[in-house]
Amino acid sequence: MKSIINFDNAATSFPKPPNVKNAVLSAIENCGGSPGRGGHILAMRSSELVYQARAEISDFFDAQPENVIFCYNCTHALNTAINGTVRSGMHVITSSLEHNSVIRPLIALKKEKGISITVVEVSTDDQDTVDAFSRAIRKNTGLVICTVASNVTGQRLPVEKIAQICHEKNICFIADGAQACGHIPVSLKKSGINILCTSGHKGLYGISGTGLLISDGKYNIEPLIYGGTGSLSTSMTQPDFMPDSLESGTLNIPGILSVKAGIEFLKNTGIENIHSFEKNLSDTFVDGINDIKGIKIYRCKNAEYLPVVSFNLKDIPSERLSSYLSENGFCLRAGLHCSALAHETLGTKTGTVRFSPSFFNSVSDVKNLCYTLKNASYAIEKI
Amino acid sequence: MNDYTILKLRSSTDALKASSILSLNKIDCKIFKTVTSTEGCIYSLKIYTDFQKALSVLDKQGILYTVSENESAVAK
Repeated sequence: MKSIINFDNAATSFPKPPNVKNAVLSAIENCGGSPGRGGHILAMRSSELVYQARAEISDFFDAQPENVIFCYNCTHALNTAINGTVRSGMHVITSSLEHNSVIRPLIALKKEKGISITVVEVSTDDQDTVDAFSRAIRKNTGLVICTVASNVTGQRLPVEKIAQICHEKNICFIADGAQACGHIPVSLKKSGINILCTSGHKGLYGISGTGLLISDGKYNIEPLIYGGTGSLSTSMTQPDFMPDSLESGTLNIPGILSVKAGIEFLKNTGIENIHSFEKNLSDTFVDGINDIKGIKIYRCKNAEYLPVVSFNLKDIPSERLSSYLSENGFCLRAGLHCSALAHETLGTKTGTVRFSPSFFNSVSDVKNLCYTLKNASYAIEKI
Repeated sequence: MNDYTILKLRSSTDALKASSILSLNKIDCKIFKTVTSTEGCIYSLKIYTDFQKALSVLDKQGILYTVSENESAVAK
């Protein structure tokens, strides 16, 4: 049976570390109670384990445990954050590299709450990007939201400097950390981000069905979902304190404990080691395909990138190329990557093929992919 | 019969955070849950030792609580 190598970790990471699998199995076998919903042994045991996860995650991101909100994915976290902080008539600034999970809620709110939106063109020069964000600010700007790194190109945005401007102007800053968390250190305190949203199932190595919203507590976030919280149980209104205000319904215990285990793996391995290893993989990939005739790599020399590389080969449709690679055992995502705006910005309206390795890939995996790509143009034309 | 003081907290998260911090400060405590017709489901802490120190520690952490009477509570 041909081996399958996953280079689509930007969609979801696979494989997971062994301790993550063990955490999920343990949760299924031992966590029979619903956290925060009862006083019996099973419920209290689940409550304690979920709290330990909250504490571990808050420590990882330099936040307080009660300001860690468990979501179902980053899209859920972003929708909660955006809908929870936007007010009618507010002006919102975002970037030209955003994922649909940022753009679509904003477009919906334009219709529903009459907000105005400015999309700032991201430059390969960080200072130009910062200046553009600064120029976009108006008197009624209440929110700035942007990605820490693009899910299409991997380009890092200067979020610390953007956060600084927001802080000076008393503007809430939400960052989409889906592609960054677990690949580089992200600290709420050091970065100045007010609300960080991220997936649990990508760089943090948790299972799918997990996401995080982590707040510094400065801005109130109105709930997106109302319901049972296990607190203020005689009240017909939603609690107004976190995490309860933003966590209604039964929590995904195996998912939450998988994220805790994933973070333990990251801490034990060392984020700097992971970053260095993954950077080597993406550099090896770029060097390995650079001289292929007709290759187009969507990167610029003076920008900074996380290990995500978008490319195309001659005029081969991206899905066709991705299919060829898949038939040869390499899984890379093609198309628009749920980021139509980013592709419009890049000029790649028919999409790209995206390479996104993880700590569980190897240099030889990458070299084999490069070899397969070298043969691709001849092989595909023959079919 | 043990002497203890009961603190009522807003939620299980607050109770667990309080319990964790108090344990780090070597203050003996235990979480339990009660249900009343007026307050509904309440997570509480029984503080067995150093009560004043416990309040001081929780105040520093910004954890909200209500001091209850010193009586036995029935966990449900």
